This record gives sequence, C-alpha cells and structure tokens, in this order.
Amino acid sequence: MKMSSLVMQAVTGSAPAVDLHVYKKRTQFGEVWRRFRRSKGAIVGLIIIALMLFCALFANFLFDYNTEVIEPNYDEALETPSAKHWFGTDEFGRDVFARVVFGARLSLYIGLTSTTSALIFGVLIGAFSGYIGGRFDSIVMRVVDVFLALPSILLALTIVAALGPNINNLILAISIANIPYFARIFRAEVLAIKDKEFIEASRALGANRNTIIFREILPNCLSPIIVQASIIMALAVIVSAEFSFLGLGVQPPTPEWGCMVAGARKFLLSSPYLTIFPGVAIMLTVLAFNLVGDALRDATDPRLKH
Amino acid sequence: MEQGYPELRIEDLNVVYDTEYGCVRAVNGIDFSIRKGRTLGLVGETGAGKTTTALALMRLIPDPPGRVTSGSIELLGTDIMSYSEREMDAIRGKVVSMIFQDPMTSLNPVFTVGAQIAEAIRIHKNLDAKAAMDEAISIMERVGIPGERAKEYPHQFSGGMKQRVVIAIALACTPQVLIADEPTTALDVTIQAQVLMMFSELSKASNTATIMITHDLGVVAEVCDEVAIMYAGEIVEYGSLEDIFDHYRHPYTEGLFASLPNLNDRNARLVPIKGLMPDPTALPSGCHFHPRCKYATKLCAERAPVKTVIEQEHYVRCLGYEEDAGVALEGFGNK
Amino acid sequence: MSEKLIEVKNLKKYFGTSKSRLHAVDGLSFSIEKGKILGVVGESGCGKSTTGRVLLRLHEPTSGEILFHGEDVLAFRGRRLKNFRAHAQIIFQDPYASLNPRKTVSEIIAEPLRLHKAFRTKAERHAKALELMELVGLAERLINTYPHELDGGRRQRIGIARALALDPEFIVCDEPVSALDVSIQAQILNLLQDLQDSLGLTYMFITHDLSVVNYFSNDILVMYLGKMVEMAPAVDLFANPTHPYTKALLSAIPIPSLHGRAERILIRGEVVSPINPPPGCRFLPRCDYAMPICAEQEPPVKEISCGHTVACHL
Repeated sequence: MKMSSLVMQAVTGSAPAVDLHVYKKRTQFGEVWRRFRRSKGAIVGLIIIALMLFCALFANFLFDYNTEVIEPNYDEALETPSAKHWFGTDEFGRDVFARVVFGARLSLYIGLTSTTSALIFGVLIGAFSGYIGGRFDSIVMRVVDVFLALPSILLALTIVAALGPNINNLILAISIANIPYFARIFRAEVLAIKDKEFIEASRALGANRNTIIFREILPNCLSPIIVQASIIMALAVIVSAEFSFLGLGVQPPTPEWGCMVAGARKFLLSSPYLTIFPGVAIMLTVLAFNLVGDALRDATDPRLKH
Repeated sequence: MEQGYPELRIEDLNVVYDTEYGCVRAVNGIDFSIRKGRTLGLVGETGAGKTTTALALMRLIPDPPGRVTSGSIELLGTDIMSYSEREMDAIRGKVVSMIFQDPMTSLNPVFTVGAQIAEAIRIHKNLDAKAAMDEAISIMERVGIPGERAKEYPHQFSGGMKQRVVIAIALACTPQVLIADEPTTALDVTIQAQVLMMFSELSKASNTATIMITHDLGVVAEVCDEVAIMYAGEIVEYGSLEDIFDHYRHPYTEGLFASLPNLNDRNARLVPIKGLMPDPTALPSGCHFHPRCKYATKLCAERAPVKTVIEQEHYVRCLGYEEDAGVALEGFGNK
Repeated sequence: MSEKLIEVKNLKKYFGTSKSRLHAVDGLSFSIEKGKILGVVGESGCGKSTTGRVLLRLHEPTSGEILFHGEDVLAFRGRRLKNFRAHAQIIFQDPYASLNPRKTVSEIIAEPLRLHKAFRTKAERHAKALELMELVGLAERLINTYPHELDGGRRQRIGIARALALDPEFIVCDEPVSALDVSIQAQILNLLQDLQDSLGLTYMFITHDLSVVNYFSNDILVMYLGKMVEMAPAVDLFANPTHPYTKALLSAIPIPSLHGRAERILIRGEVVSPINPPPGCRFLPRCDYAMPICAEQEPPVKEISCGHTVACHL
C-alpha cells in the first residue's frame, strides 16, 4: 500500500472548490523511470542510443552523402585513421567514419520499422487470439507455434531468398520472423488480465470487445511489450547486419554496417580498422538495446516495487 | 484466584520499518502479558500493528526493513531479544508457534499433510520417522481430521480442513505460547464456528497461552479472556472480556462497536468512525486517534495520552480519563 | 403491491462439460420489487455471485428466464443489451481488482459516460464525474490519482460512483464490504443505504455476512449449493428460521456481545462438491434431521407464511 497517499486527510464530504490542475497525474512512466535510472548500464545504453539517434538524424549535416559516402576517391584509398579521416578510408577512398555514421541511420531504420511492424501485428494477433479464446485461439496459436518452431533466421532467409535481396524485403523478413514472439507474449498477458474484475466491470458497463482490448487490457501490458521490443530491436540490428554481410540484405555501396564488414574482409590483416569500426558499431548498438531492455524489465517488474 | 507467572511478558515494544517513504512506526510502546491457559485477543483494523506485534514475538520481523528499536519480550522469564538466531530456531515451533491467516499458502503442496506435521515434530523431538508419523496422526485426530487422511495432499483438503492441518502443525510440539493470526478469516461462517470451537477446546485442554489476532469482535467474544484494542501501533484499551464488551471506555472501542450491524436491532443506523487509518509514516501528534475522534479537543492534538488504570487490569489511553487534562467525553456511551 | 423490477424463473447455470457439470445455480426463482433490497446469503461456492452475474448477462444462463420490467433480458441483443446495461449495474467485492490500475479516478468514473455517449464533450463528462465523486464522498483532489494510491474504502467509493454514472435502477452489490475494515465497512454500508433512499435504487445484496444483510435487506434469500433453501422477509427469517441450514448459519455468526448468546448449533462436515450433485436434498450430508426421503426426492418449496418459503421435507 502507498503510505504517502494516506497522508491525505480522510474526507467523507465534499472538498472545497480548488484548482484541479494542482492534482497532477503521477504516471506509471515516472515510477518506471525512477527505478530505471538506478541502473548504470541502462544509462550507458541510453547514451549510446541517443548518440546513434543523433548520428541518424543529423548525418546529412555532418557529411555529404554522395561525395563522401558513395563516390570513390581513389587518391585516398586505404588510409589509416588520421585527423582528417577519423576511422581511415576504405579501398575506394571513402571516409569510414562518414559511412559508419550513415550506417547508424540505416540500422536504426531497419530495426525500428521491422520491430514496430512485428509489434503491431503480433499484438493484434495475440490480443484477439487470447481474448476470443476457444477454437479460434487454438488454431491461431498452433500457427504461431509452427512459426516459432522454425529458426527465425532460416525463416527470414527463405523470405529474402524468395523475394530478392533489398532493404524492404529485409525489413519484411525480420518483422515476419518476430511476429510470433510478440503474439505469444501479448496473448499470455491478455489471458492473465481478461478475467480480472475490472474487465467484467467494463463489460457490465456495455463496453464491446475492441474497447476492452484496446482501452482496458492494452495499457496494462505495455511494459512486457516494451521490454520485448527493445530486445527484438537489438536482434533486428544483428540480423540486418548478418544478412547484409551474406549479401542478402542491403547491397553495396549503401553504407550498411554488415555490408561494410563484408567488404572489408579482404583487408582484415592489412587494414583491420576497416572491419573493427563497423563491427564495434554493431556491437555497441546491440549492447545498448540489450542493456536498456534488461533495465526496463527490472524496472517494470511489479515484484520489485517499493 | 491463583495467578500463574506469565508465560509471555512484553514491555515497551517498539518496531519500525524503514521504507523509502519514511520511517513507519508500526508498533509504539506495547506492553502486555499473558498467562497459562488464557487467550488474549489482539483487535484492530488493517495497519494497527497486530501482525507486526506477532512477528516480533517470534523474532520474525524482516530486517531490513524492520527493526525492533526497544522493548523486552520475556518468554518463560527470559528475554528472547538476547537469544541468538540458533537459540530462536529451537524455540520457534516448540515453545512459541504461529498460525497464519491463509491456510491455502501455509502448506507445502508437494508433501502429504501427515509428512508435514511429522516434519514439525521431528524438528524438535528426537523421534524416528515412524514414531513421528504416529504422533502426527494422533494430533490430526485431536484437531478433528480422520487419521487415514494423513496420506493425502493439501489440495485434497477443503479450506477448513487445511486450517485444521495448520493448527495441528502449530500444536505438534505442545507449545507454551500460541499466536494465531486471523486463523478463521478466510473460512466460511459455519466452518469458522467449527474451527473456533475446536481451537478453544484444545488450547484450554493443553493449557496454552494464546494470542488471538483478529479484527472480528464476534470471534473475540467467543474465545478470548482478555482483550487489547490496538490503534496505530498502540494498545488504546486493555481489559478483561467483560471490561471491553460491557464497560469500554475508549472512544475508538466505542466506534468499533457502533460500526457493527446489530443483529437484534435492525433499524439502528450504523455509526461509523469518521475518516481513515492514519499514515504510519506521519502519525498525528498527541493522541493518534484524535483526527477521527468525535470527542477530540485542542489538547488531544498536543498531548499524548498515557495509560490510565480504570480498575485492576482494565486500562485505557485517552486524555478523557486523565484528571488534570480536563477533556470531557461528553455523551460517551449514548448511542 | 408494487411493481416487480426483476423476476427470475427457474434459473440454471452449469459450468463445464456434460461429463462433469458444476451446478453453480440450479433452479432458482425469485423476484425483487422496485425500491427494495434482496439480500442473498450463502457460503462460498453456493452460487450467489454467479446468480448476480447471470442476472446482468455477464454469464449466459444454461436455462431459465430473467425478466426486467417484464421484458425478457435473455432476448436482449446489441443496442437493447447496451441499454439494459445502463439500467442494471454491479459493485464488486474486491476494490483492488475491479478498478483498472492504469486509469485515474476520473477516467474510471467517466468511462461509462464515454461508452454510452452520455455527454458530447470531455469537459461535460469531467463535470459529471466530479458530481458523482461528490455524491459518493470522494474528495475532488483525488480526481487524478490512481487506484493503487488509495485505500480500500475510497476505491470502493470509486466502484460505486462508476456503477451510478448511468443512473441505473438496479444494482447487484457483490460482497461490497467484505474486503474492508469494520469502521470503513460501516461508512460504505451507510453510503449504499443513503444512495438507495435518495435515488430509489433496487439492490440485490450478495454477502456471506448475515449480520450485514439483516441490517440492510427487506427480504433475504438463503442459498446452499446453487439452490434456494429459504426465502423470507428479513424480520421473519431472523425471528423464525425454518430450514436446518438457515438455523445453523444464524447460530454460527460470532456475536460481538457477551449477552443473549444462544446455544450454538454446529453443523458437521463441509460443503460438498457442486459437481454432478446426487438427487435429493443438497444439504443432506450435513443435516441432523435427515430422513430417508431426503436422499430420494428433492425437497419441495413450501410457503409457510406470507412471503416465507422454504425448501425442506420437514
């Protein structure tokens, strides 16, 4: 029980008229943030994500895409890191730092879009399956089980191989592979909540199915969804790098990290920095999302309250 | 009347919990004692400190956040606060036992009930498995469970039967002091009646000193000899069953009785105590009950009442009975 | 004689499969007059809460008839059903589980208004929510707090305000005070009674606490394992309990007084399982007056005095 709330004096009559804006909502978000901040790892993760976001948003202002990132400049090929080229240059004389910065944009774009679409479809499937229940639920969940039984990488590989390697198909493949995870989690949440009395109260008031799912149940299961999203986000960054490395995702000369690592393989011994910088970028991003995900899971765990 | 030496004597017990919202003063200077074969009812609402008191008697206050800041708990004449953890382990279950409110969660679902009772016996008595099981079966029969059910698992028992098992475990080593924390609250009335009857017969027969924690004055009237009314971590009124039920003096006790529907007068309107339990991190100044008391005066907010003895064991903590305070409880006792 | 607001005829609700059927409610008939309070008493598992929920169409009955103002509730669909929901509401036992933890007090109270499009603007709904809060004695400053910040009594007031939002005629109170402390219990009981007086509400008051129904109800229905065992005006039932179960139930109440205690009638045994009950009287295994006929035939419902009916072979 919240002790502080009991400070408020007992009132059985009406209170004097007062400005209602004084009574600010104290949101769940505030509570989670307070606990989230306690984790040092989470703050590091958040800083890395903020940096990535900054790079992604302002890449255009830092570098010129065409001249510095795409077009070859053979005069400056394979230069080691220097004050001019912080991360050195690749075999075409392109600035690696600029390419890593633009790569951030691509990675975040792929991660965000694929995670968001997987989340939306997964939540919809899980919500209706769990709420309607019965035979519908059994059928839907068996289909989800089938998808879960396939290794998601294999599933995504098949999709990309069938549709052809490009960014959109890559996003599609990653999101389809991750829909079952969201569906599973959300269904479990719906099942746990749908028999609570406040849902019954809502039905007694005449609320229909959609109102109950989206206005009553959904707000109560945001935390596991957000946690899962941050983990899938990290996964999506890895998968997109993997696929591009294998030549099944983003194609050169687009500055994708996995793609860059693939191109730098030939120079692994002579110019290792070509592999190291995009590699480190991948690692940091994945680490950051995992750190944030872990901290979010801890911060939203109701057992740890107070 | 021959009065034995108290089995348990508590003096000036204070327990606090350090929480992130501040220091919760859960128990503030409680003292009482209890003799062989007697039952003390500890009555109060949620947050009155009843359960904390009980846990303190078992030295089971979770630390942190809880701390017993002062006071002595004398069990059979020795202060248990001086005992080591190991010495306490030897005492818990053997000298003092506790029955918890929820029979559903206080039994282990993967062991048979017979095995659980036998286990409780073997912890304190040097018996082999067979002898312990035999003793377990005889205890089960004493609490009204057929002995052949010893091989069954808790989920095969109804709520009332489970609570009997819990009581059997608590009584397994014939403790001198038994603490029962709302033992019948989770049960239906007809089952509650059965369990209470059995409970008071057993504790009388084995001459156990019992502390019955409850919020139900009906249960108190049924099984207790002495009653302590608790409010905000203090005993506000203490006395024999007759003192409390027929000659109560504290406004809070009066409020509790007035809040209950009267079976004999169905048209009487309930007179609730206004307001809510105070925030334990910021207890009201003076008398903790004053914001809810209909007789409160300015002085009640400033001066903390002390014990005023009404007669013999009956005492009350209210300025209305302190002669120099000049607080009059006008209309007290008029419904 | 005043109008019957709710009439229930031979209501049955079974759960489970055809092999193992849980007879939650088994052939219950009663009616509640407008402006009256019917207390429904029984121990856990007797089907009292299920009855309340079936009445409001939160569960569909297996068979039987429910009439509201003489109209067949079970035939309501779509708009009609939604309309019925505005007239018949429920207050739940557990003020912790019955409020959405992610919504503020005003959002919870205004939700029915939004669902039924009772007001056009958010500001109007907000004003009505404030009005309701005042009606149930909730301070205005609590408007943006969340349920978990409040104590049980206040939460129960929120539940009451929500149930009152659409000006219902009929409210099922499902153990509304059993989760509360005695002093708060009395506050809520008084509130429910004041509201009934001032708004002319009709209650079906479900409880396990006989002293509460006695204080509160016009008529009392005693249930045992899905069946009515006795129904009578409250005064009658307490003065002249007839069924052995009612007698035992009455004598089992712990009375908070040292005087006027009657000798306790203890009933042996426990409630048997309501799954596939045998024929005959359900109370048979615990009854001290059992006769051979009790095992064979279901006891008939007899009217022993005006409005006092009992189902027993005695």
